[in-house]
Amino acid sequence: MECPHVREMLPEYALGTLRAGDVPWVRDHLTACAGCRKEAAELMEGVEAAALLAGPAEPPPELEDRVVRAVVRAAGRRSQRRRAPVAGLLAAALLLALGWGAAMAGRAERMGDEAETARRAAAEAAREFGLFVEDLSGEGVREAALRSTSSSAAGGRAIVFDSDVSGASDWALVIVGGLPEDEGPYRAKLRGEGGSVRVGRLWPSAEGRLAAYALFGAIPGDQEDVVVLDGDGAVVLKGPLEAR
Amino acid sequence: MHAPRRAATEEAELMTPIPDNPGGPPRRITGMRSTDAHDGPLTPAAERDLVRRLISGDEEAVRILYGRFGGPVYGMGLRLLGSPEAAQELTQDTFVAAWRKAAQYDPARGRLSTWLMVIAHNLGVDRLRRESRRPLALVEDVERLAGETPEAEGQIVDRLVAGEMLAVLSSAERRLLGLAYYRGWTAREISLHDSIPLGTVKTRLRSALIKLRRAHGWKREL
Repeated sequence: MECPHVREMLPEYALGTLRAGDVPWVRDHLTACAGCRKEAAELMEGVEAAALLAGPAEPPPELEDRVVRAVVRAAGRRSQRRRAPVAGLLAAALLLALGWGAAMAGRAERMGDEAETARRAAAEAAREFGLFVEDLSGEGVREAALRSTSSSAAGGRAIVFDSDVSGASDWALVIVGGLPEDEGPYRAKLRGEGGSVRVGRLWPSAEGRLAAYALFGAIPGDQEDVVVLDGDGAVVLKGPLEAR
Repeated sequence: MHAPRRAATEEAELMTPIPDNPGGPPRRITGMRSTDAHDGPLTPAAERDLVRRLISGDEEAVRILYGRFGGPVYGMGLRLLGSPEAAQELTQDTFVAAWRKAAQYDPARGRLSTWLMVIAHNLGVDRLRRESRRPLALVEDVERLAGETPEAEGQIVDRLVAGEMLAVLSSAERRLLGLAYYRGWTAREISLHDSIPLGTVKTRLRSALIKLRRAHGWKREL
């Protein structure tokens, strides 16, 4: 993306009204371009100054303790390196569901006559998984609706569990459909201000669908969107991560 | 995309020009209180130290940050979201988000106050757009607020600040900034609604932010 195009988007970037899909591109550019970074910094100072236009307001006295408790509690969860039992259950369920689907898909490759059975099994696994994750909620669970960067009908969904805890069970799941087979292999990444995190190659999980799943010790940084890249490294699907 | 509809009375309210040098050159502003001026500006080293302590969840550091920025964040949230409850939630979310993002804070890219207020505003705009809530405050509400009886000396300074800063903007810039900052409208939505070329909207938003930044910056030099 060229500087003039980015400069045009910077006021909205600073104001927080830029289209979510454009934010990662601007962020990437700012990482590499000192001139645009300076412009962005100045516009953000303008946003800070605009806060003064709101005029004075005295927060209720009890808000300070509430805020402090929330931050200290969040930091404490991280330092204690513990995770709610549900997280482990979710990870196990994910592995079971996807492992089963992937295994069946692999078996289909080896045994053509059982391919249809395997696909049905994988689809069923994905369906059950879909029902399962519908119930997911709470802190640390974020979801992205993946949309095509072109006019194609391809799309998908990603779910990320980042508990802010340095453990062994943060995870990301990406399921997509409608991508042309001959433009793969496809790979999924999480992207944020601090860089990207590889989820991995997308493998067939059911007819017409591909899936990738990864476990992380702790997802580094504050990942803000999910992208799927084709065999040439071009982004074909993307979507912002949002709380469920 | 269709721009949100607004009532005619709101239109008139948004269009109300503010006297005192509208559209004129930026003026040197005196007596302004910074978002972080309660105990004087922090040095870059002090900001780094505060952020480092924030990352570790140091309660005292959180209280220092809240003491400096809690009021401005809450005030912005109140005007943006329109209810004390929502403003309190926004304030809490802002400080938790600041803790989550603290490792990414780079003093070379901007001051701590700027970083925190941008986080707060972005969270507020996200919420505003998600809930399609009509905000109660417009930029012009500052004038009304300025007429209210201040409760403390600091508030007298704050309302002077608001009035002085508005005066550096043209009426067109005030209107666009009001729609973008307080309503979370995109440039495209503003363009469609006001029948203004998209490029013009973006240019005016930029000039408004730069003028406010300049006015704010002058204050910091005092």
